[in-house]
Amino acid sequence: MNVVQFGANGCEKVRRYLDSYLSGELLVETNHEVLRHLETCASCTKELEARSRLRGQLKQAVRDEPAPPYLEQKIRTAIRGEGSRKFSFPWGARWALAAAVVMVAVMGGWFALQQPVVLSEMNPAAQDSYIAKVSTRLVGVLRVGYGDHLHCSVARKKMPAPGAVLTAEQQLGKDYQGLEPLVRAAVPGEFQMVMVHRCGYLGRRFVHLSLRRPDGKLLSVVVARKETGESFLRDQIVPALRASGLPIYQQGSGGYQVAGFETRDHLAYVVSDLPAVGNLQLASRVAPALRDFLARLEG
Amino acid sequence: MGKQDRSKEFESAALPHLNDLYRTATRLLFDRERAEDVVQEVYLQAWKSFDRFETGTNCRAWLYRILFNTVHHYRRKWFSLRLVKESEELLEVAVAPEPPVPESLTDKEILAALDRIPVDFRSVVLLADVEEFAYKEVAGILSIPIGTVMSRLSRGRRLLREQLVDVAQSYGIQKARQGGLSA
Repeated sequence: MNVVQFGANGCEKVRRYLDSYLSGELLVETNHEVLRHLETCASCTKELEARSRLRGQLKQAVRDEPAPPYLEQKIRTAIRGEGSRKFSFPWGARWALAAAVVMVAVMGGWFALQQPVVLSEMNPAAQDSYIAKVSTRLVGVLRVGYGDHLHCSVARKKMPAPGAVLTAEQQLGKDYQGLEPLVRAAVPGEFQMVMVHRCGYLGRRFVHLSLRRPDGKLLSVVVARKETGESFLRDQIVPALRASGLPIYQQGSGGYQVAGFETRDHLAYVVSDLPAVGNLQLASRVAPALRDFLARLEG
Repeated sequence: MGKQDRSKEFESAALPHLNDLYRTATRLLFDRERAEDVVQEVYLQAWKSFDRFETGTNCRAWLYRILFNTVHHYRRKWFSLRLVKESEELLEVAVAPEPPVPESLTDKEILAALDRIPVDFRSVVLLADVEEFAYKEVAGILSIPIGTVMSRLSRGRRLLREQLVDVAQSYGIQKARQGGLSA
């Protein structure tokens, strides 16, 4: 897609790009232009929110049609050659289908380009560009914690081997040193704390606690100070749930789920490669205590 | 590798996508039984050409490509529908301002609106917005240029929003009638 410059009164142009923006399909430069416009245009921000909501509803409506439970077994049986006679296509024309499949196989080279993404094996520039791309699927303020998790825990793997637990509370500084016991107490015991530190991403500082489950699932608790104007309320997204009255927002992209909430001065996130429900459950366990902790800090 | 190992490998790579393929087939064919037949056929064809499938590549996109080829043949045979030109003609329609999409929509209303969209547009919306394939992957699955994917998506999303306004209005009228109110 071409790079587009939006001038004054760029609403009409921006709206043409909102869906591709939601899909994370814009070039970095165009994406930046859209973002810049959204920062100052309440009407386009509202339109983005409406389209994002509609897309969520569409996904849910279509996905709410699971295959009948017997279909999987029927297919297994056919594959193993036990019932292939019963398996004839009702309208014939099998030769045409076979030809179509041969064509698919011949053109398989295209799919070879679609390798699963292994962030840690990319070079740093490719990592950053990938994170920027998958982040665009998320609503503004959720990108903050999501980006740090992907950059720090997944891409750069700034993490020791399992067992080499770092308990250096001093790494968090005086203000945040109480976070480690708080998070340990809130998450299930199977998660092992593997890293507690301060880090930076895209010019922003984070307090970052990283945990790992024996099956390799990675979980981050990320805290950042708010920058001017940042708020979940401004992004107008609907909370996924409320934990002790605290609204928690969640979205997923690129195989990771990010749940977030805010206090007066902080944004806090739980990010993982767990399923959406699992990540949200963990967030709801961590969030109330973390909110109280941050509120005390804010005085 | 023995045939049994190979079929296990195929099953573990391909069967997790069964629900995805089935729901897409249902939205393309409007009929659960036909969707079931098509999905079975997709798996059988995929299994037969699994030797040529490269492990580690995108199995889901590969299955979707077979699905769309299968559905294409099926539709041509049974619906005798006009399969070409539909999209291009619709793209010529003048762009008018859109009314806002209603906020509270039921699944039924959304699916009714989606089902009204011509199949070429419905296909790209399903692949990009529901199944979350990248535009480039959609182009590969449907064997069309990426520019066509983008123009169909743009038109398809707009058609969906327009249909939603219509559907919500007509459902609203029905509800009002059922509730004994004059519409």
